[in-house]
Amino acid sequence: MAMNKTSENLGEIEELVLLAILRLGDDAYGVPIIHEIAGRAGREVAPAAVYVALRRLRHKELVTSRTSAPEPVPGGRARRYFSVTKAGIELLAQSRQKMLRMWEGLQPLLEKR
Amino acid sequence: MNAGRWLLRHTLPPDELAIVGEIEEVCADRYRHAHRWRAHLGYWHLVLAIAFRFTVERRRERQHSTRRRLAGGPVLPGPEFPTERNLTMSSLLDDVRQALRHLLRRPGFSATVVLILAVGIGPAIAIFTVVNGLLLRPLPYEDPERLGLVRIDLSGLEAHPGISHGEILDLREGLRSASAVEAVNREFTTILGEGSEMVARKGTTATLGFFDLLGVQPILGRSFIEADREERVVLISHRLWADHFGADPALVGETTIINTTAYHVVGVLPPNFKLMLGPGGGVSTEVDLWFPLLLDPESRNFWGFRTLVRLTPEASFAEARADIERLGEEMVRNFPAIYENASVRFDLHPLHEDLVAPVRPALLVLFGAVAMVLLIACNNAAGLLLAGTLARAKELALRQALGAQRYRVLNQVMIESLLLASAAGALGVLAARVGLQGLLAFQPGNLPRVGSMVVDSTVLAFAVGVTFVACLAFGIIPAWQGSRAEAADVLRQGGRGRGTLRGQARNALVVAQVAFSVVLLIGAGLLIRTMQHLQSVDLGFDPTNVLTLRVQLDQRAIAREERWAMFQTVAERVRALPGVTAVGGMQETPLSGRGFRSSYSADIDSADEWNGTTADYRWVLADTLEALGGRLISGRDIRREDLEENRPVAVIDQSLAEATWPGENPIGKRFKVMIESPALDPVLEIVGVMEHPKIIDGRTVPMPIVLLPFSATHRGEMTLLVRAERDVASLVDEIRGAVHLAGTGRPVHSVQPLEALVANARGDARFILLLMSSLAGVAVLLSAAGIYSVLAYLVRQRQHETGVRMALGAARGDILRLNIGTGMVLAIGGVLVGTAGALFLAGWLESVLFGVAPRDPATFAGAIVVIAVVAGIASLVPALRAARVEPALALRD
Repeated sequence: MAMNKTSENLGEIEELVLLAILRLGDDAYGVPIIHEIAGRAGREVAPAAVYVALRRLRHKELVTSRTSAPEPVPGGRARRYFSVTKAGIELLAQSRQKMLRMWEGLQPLLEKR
Repeated sequence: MNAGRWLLRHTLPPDELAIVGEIEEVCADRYRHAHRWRAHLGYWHLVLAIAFRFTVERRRERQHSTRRRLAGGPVLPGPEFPTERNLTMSSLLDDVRQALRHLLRRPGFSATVVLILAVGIGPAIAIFTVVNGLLLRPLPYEDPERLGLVRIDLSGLEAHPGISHGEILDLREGLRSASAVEAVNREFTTILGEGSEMVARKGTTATLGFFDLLGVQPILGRSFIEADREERVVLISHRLWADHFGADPALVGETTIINTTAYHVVGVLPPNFKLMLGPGGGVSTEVDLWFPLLLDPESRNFWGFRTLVRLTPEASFAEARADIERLGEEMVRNFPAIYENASVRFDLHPLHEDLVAPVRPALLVLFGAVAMVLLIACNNAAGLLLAGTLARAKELALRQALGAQRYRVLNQVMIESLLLASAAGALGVLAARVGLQGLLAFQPGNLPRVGSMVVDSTVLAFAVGVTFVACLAFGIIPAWQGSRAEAADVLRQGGRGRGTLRGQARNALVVAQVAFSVVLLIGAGLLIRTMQHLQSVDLGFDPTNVLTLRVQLDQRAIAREERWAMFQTVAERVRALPGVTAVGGMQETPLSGRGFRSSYSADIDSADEWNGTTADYRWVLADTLEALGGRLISGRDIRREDLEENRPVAVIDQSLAEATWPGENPIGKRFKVMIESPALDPVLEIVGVMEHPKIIDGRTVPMPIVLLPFSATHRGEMTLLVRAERDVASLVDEIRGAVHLAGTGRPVHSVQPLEALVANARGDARFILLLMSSLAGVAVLLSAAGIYSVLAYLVRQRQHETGVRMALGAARGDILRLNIGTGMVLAIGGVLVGTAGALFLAGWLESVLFGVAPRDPATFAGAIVVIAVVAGIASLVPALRAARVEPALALRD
């Protein structure tokens, strides 16, 4: 494909979701992702928004997913675990760089207040 | 939860189904400590949010990929082509949108179908509102299903609602299946206020626990208590409190003057309180004043007290009925002198059932009629839609040929039906709300519970149900027919094809419509005959130009023995007014259904021979028969001298004369009556025989009527009958003045023309007739439209064929005959089916008919002729159009 993925823009929720997946490591599926964003960023995101973000990230090939075997308990569910692709990590790094560059020299401004 | 899963499985893309389980996990965690309902609410919020977001997301993806494809860019991966699993929310929305577009493209057609359906749905909802208010909604009392009304069969007075004090106390004592037995008297007129401020209001007495039994609490003050035995107290209605006392909250505890005596107002009843008793209840909703009723164990021969029973939670009505019957038998054994050898049977009727029993048959007939109109309307709509689908056959076939699955086509047509039905349902609810007000304005006044006939949630649920049923009823055939089109056939015939099966379906629809119309027309016809019979019933008196008014005396100022004389003076003063031709007086108003009934016997010597004979007695002033316009057969009317000397005389009607002295002249004969009145000699001499005047009511089996001189009673109230040369209503003020001058000390009230009372007694028949006739009219119009549209369609389809026939030499007359014949065959089929149906259903109507048999051949014949004429006209128009076809043009098309 000729598309340059790194030129894609990340939405705020998409970025939060990507970071949450990285933090969770092997345990990254829908429910903990929602919890991680709520717990760390202090932001109650709508589960529907998270699931849509996951779908978009998948279509942009920034994450991959695998479906686990159902849990070995009665009524156990199959879960879909996510991990960030190399392109995803690249994009996150670019995004961080972009933000850091924008912040450069602005620290004293915040401290004055 | 299952419904949520289902919804998600049908909304989410197949590769996102893991979300279904995860959502439950999120909820389980989030609402761990919340209430069950909060958790449910949260779950559904989440489910709907996800369903919505993903529907939007997929739309976005589709647009995105189309744009990229058009721009020559890469296509995103992912399932883009609809699979079977994919018949999801969004495609459903697409279907709805497409159906809507399709319907709006043909606004005339759609509006016609909606209107036709609304004509069927509206009346169904209106009548259901009445059924709901009357039969389904519980009475506005505490635990109303445990309340019963005591009725007795006493000497042939069928199911009389009143019993005596002694009997009430015996029931209280002995009825183990009841937790309370309380009674209320018949209403009477009371005079409120003093001097020129006096107004007449209805009042009654009720036992101390009566309101507790109903579970009704006064909104101000209190109900009756034991201490009220010693006091003059009154409970007033909310209406009186608001209208007369200006809703003064300080009224409770004050005294007010009632019948020139001071009474303490102890409470105000709630605004919605209404006592509702069944037929002959004698307590109208007009009662404003409630006095305590104290029961006298010695009083056993006045059966005037309506007695309500509240069953214990354990008891059933069957048990209570058995108990009450047994107690009644005991009473008859214990007091032989009271019951003589009359047949007495005590019974207990559930209060609600007792109340609605008289109107239930008519209501069910009407409900049947609206159901038929609804069926006709659905049928008609189905016919139109079928024609519509056939016109689209090419489009639908093409869609199938291009790979649309058959159920998608079916779906499409059903969604169109659903949209049409929903619009019609909404219109029907509106029409029902408006129509109901008109309906209730025409109701005869004896319809109980009018206040509860409102469009409530039950009615709305019914409306939704009816709409869906209607949608299925009229949508399924066209949908089926549309989806089964064999693509190749339709396309080959260029859309002109006329599948025989489809033709049969359409024909069956028309036959059914005609059949239902025949049934309704016959029903309406039978009611018209009933009305004619009621109108032509010889009343035995002449109600034109007669005014009735209640006159009451100040009973403390006028001694008992002088009351009749005061009434006679009133009558003579009114008689002296210019234009008045006759004046009489009677203790009860004619046609009020209230008489004074008791036994009589021609055997004056033996002590207790009554033979179960009952007559209706009326105390009258002099010349009352003349004022009533009754007809004497022999002898004379009650005269002034009879009253002055208090002679033991009576005027009887010919039914009593023929039954007791067949073939003899009864004038001068003597008979005895079972009436205890202080001034009445129970052995009476017959001085006159009159034609039976139907003053009880217009329909029931006539009971003999006996007129007795008013001088033998001490009653302080009566109805004055004033006959004038013309327009008696214009004399009301002068009559009032004359009564006042005579010195009664009380105002007159209940002024009504006798003709109005007669009309009222016939009212319910007129009401049902009006409804039935309009329903039948609608039905005939709809089925005429059905025949017309089918035939018009057929003619269009046959245009080519007609052209060929004419080219080959068929005359225009042949073409005309052919097409009219087709219409008439359908009509005859419908008439046969409908007549059979009417013969089968006629028995239902029996209870609302009068003077006409439910299978009256003339009525059946009339209805059939009407349908035949209508069908003929409906066929003629399209047939003429066919016959005018230019063969060359038809062939070229």
